[in-house]
Amino acid sequence: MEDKLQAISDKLSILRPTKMVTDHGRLWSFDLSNVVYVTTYRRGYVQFIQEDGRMKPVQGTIEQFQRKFKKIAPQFARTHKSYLVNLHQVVAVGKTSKGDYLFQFQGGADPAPVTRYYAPHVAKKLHVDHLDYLEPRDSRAEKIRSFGLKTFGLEEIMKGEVKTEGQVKWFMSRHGIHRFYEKRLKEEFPEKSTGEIDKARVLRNIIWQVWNWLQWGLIPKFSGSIRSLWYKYIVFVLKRNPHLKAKNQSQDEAAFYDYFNDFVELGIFTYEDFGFRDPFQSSRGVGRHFPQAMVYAEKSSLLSLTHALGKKYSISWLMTRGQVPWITAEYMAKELKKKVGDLDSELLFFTMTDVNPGGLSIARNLKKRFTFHGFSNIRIHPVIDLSLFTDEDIEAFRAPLISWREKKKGKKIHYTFKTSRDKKLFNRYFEWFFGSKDWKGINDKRLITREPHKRYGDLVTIYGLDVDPISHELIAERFKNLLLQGLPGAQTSRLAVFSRKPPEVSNLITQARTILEEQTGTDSEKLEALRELISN
Amino acid sequence: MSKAIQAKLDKILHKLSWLIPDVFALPANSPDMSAGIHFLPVHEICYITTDHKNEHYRLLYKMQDGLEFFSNHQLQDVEKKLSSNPRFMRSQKSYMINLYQIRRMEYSSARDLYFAKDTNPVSNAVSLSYLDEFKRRFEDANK
Repeated sequence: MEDKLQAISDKLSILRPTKMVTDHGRLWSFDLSNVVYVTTYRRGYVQFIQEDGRMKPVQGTIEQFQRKFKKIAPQFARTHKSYLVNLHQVVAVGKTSKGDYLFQFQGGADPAPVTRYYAPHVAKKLHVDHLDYLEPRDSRAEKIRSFGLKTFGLEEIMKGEVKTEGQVKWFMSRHGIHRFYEKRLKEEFPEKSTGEIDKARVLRNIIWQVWNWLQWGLIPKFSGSIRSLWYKYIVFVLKRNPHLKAKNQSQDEAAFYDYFNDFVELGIFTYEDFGFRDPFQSSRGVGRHFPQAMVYAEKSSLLSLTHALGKKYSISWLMTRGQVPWITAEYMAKELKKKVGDLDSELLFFTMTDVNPGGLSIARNLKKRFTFHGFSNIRIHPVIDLSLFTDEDIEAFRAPLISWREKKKGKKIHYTFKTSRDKKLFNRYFEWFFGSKDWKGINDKRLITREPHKRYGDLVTIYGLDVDPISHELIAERFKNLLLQGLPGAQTSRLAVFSRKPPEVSNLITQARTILEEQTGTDSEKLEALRELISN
Repeated sequence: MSKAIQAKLDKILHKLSWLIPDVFALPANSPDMSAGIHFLPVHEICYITTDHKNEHYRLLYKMQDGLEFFSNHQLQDVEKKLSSNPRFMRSQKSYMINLYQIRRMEYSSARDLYFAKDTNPVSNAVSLSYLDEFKRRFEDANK
């Protein structure tokens, strides 16, 4: 019975307006349900912030009111050393860069901070597990939050206020991040420690905003390459804030592509959603008969060869300069999916890459990108390897990659490097040459030299080989052997069908035309004549 | 004696909870993917239903101003939270409705309901198995 009475009195107290002593000793009646929060004002006074953003100074301290409200207004909770918040007014919870939380309210009141100390208690009162995110956890949304994204003008969109052309123009000029001046950028996207503009955050937010605009139908899809986004929205910002610029534009552009790719890798959007065009559209194709086999080259000098091989064996082919861009992989994977159908079926990738760590990473990334798009069973067959080179070739064409000195001290080997570049690349190159868990390594005597030195240790150099010196015929021959091992049907049955000449359609068409254009004879007669022609 | 008082207290509590619910706001995902939790005042919710449009299951909260919010909760859990709130009732396998937000009602195999400003009805918002309870609760709400 006690708890019921308590519950009744709790509920009644929420309804009751309470009188407070205000400044200058005057009495003033409050409806506590209209108060958003209480915060400190000056010594001996606190201020009551109301729904419309107005404030009223009142005598007392936060501790006093906290004690007082425990009975008469249980909806108030302490969230900060100097904040007492009406939890019924809370609309949303945000997060600050320091790991604390922010309560947001409707109307004119400023957000109120929630410290980590008070957060669990407040969460309990709000009937949620914690303030970080909503259970069950949405890891994708969390990752997006870690980018520090902000959405501008969402309220107007949700209310449907942005419809006509003029409204859209007004909306974009008001909320477009690329139109912000330095001061606003500093306010909206400050760096944690310095308070200067956080460039990565600005670029990410612009990408995020453009995507939102596309979703809301404010702007049409892009028709050019990904660069069109760069020129339309980002060049503007860098021009206006020259101190944000990197030493040269290509660095900025590379960073921008990386940020864009982060979103794609998280699965938030695809390149196709934006309508971007693939830069390597003309250097790829899907095989008619064996789309599951693909020949890939990393050099434009091999374009004609890959194209010819793709045509000859009716398999897929792809050439990119350097690493496979995500956008190319996306479009290629989409076309492959259409043709192959089953995602679990085996894909055979025949890669023509240099014999060096770069070539290895390109082949690996190729696999990674297609795995990302759903192909689970991919096998890589490197076409170019040392067996294609003669000893004299290697002697003549090998190019030094990295060198180091190694000295034995007891059981340990000490490595020393001449430059910081060598030190950075050492692990990767060492793994490439001597092998690791999933890579058997090169381990060839012809690609390593050792100059012994007693005092400083041996000088070891490893070498790589380029594809270019090998003749295309040799590559084609080796490719054929590999292909027939992996895909025995490629030469015999299907290709025989493929190589047969197609029936002479043009002849048929001319015959049909003559029948149709004849002056004499009724329609039914013509139809029968056509039927006969087709059945023959 | 005490039993009578208990019953009376229950009645008072019930009447009071029309005005002041135990759970004042329900958490939902913020429409802004970059923000955290969003709180929806329960009295402004028209109905809660399940939504399969976006491939994965989620709950849809329709508000009186026409806005839609989503969360990944189960409808049962939300029902448990709102069990002491007389405004809300489960009216179908996948619907929870706010009796105070009903503007218009039409007869179908069970009942079609118009909420707040909606111009289109929610067809079969009340199914046959819940119809009796709905009639009772609806009368209670409009006393």
